[in-house]
Amino acid sequence: MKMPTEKEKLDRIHNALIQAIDEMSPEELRQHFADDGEDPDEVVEQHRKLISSAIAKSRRTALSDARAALDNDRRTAEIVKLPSTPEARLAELQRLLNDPSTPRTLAARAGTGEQMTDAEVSSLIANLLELGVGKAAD
Amino acid sequence: MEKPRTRFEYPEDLLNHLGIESPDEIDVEAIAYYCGAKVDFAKLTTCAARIVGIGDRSIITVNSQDKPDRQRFSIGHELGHWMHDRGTIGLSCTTATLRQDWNGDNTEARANRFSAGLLMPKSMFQNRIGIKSLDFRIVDKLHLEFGTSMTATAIRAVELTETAAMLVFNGKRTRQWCKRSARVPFDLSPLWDLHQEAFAFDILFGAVPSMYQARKITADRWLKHPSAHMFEIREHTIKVPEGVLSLLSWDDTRLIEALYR
Repeated sequence: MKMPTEKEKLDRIHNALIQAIDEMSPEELRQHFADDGEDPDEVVEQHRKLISSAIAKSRRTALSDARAALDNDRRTAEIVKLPSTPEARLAELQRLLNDPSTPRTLAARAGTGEQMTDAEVSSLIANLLELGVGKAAD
Repeated sequence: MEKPRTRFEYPEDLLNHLGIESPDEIDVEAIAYYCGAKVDFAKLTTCAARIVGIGDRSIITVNSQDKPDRQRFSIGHELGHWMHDRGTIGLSCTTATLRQDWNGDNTEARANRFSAGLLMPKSMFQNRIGIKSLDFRIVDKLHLEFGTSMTATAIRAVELTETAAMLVFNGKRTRQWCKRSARVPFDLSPLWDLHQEAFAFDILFGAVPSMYQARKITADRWLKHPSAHMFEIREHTIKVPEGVLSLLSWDDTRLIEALYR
């Protein structure tokens, strides 16, 4: 039989402790703190603050993670190879707008795309390709 | 593993979910990314912002030529669409839709409300307005702190102030819209055409610059009410694109109280 490592032993103690606390009723817990000479209300308040602060920290981490992921996404985004002339870009946009996966509301609003500037056409092509609508024609 | 929640009907729930407690933490691009919407910038001429979304992913494109505060509002607006119409979405929103009233019962007004609530949440905004009569000096401080346009900030301030205030936007031809605070009854309306003796008149039609501070003026220069000539209000007018924005406030609320009798 394989002997448990020191970390595994510690984990077992940790789990047993959690289980023991988990099995105690709120009254037993309060009594336990009172027996140790502590004010149970104060202990409850301290733990409440600790948990709130841990939750807030974890939530803020989610936002800073999103910022880091966005920065990384922008840095590593694939450069879209666009057709070389405005006419070809307009044709490419039409092809993408006719793709069944393109949102119909977008296709309806964009129309033929002719009222858009070339910069708008290019950015819309890039958006659609990034969302996996199709691949740019060479 | 359960996916984290990324869809919120109310912006304050989203801010709370992300543990955001102060205006400087409202990183709207990161918030959008967390919700599956990547923000991109491009020179747009037919619209101010656009959203294209398929499944759980979308791309919000905002006009790179707009000022940062306008871009932030546009991102919040498109994110509002994303919260309600996730799945397959493709919309382009013009400057006019981004400036329209937030109280309407349509998708654009709903998106504007979402953006205002996200960038200027009531819990952070209301206590910063204070209890003094509203003017553009207060609005200016809030606009800098929240990173929002003067117009959007002024609308939100009038919406949330506990004092009597009215925001009026006049274009060269006529009054475009007005917004009353909760203390101002609906019966009290500004004149359709700008009075020649209103401070706003010379700012709109002459070479007079925006007012540095609010000044007292007889109420009939602004309001349609038989007793208006007997009362004074405060006017603070500034120039904005396509017109003038006037913030009217009351030190003496007897005119308003008379309407309730």
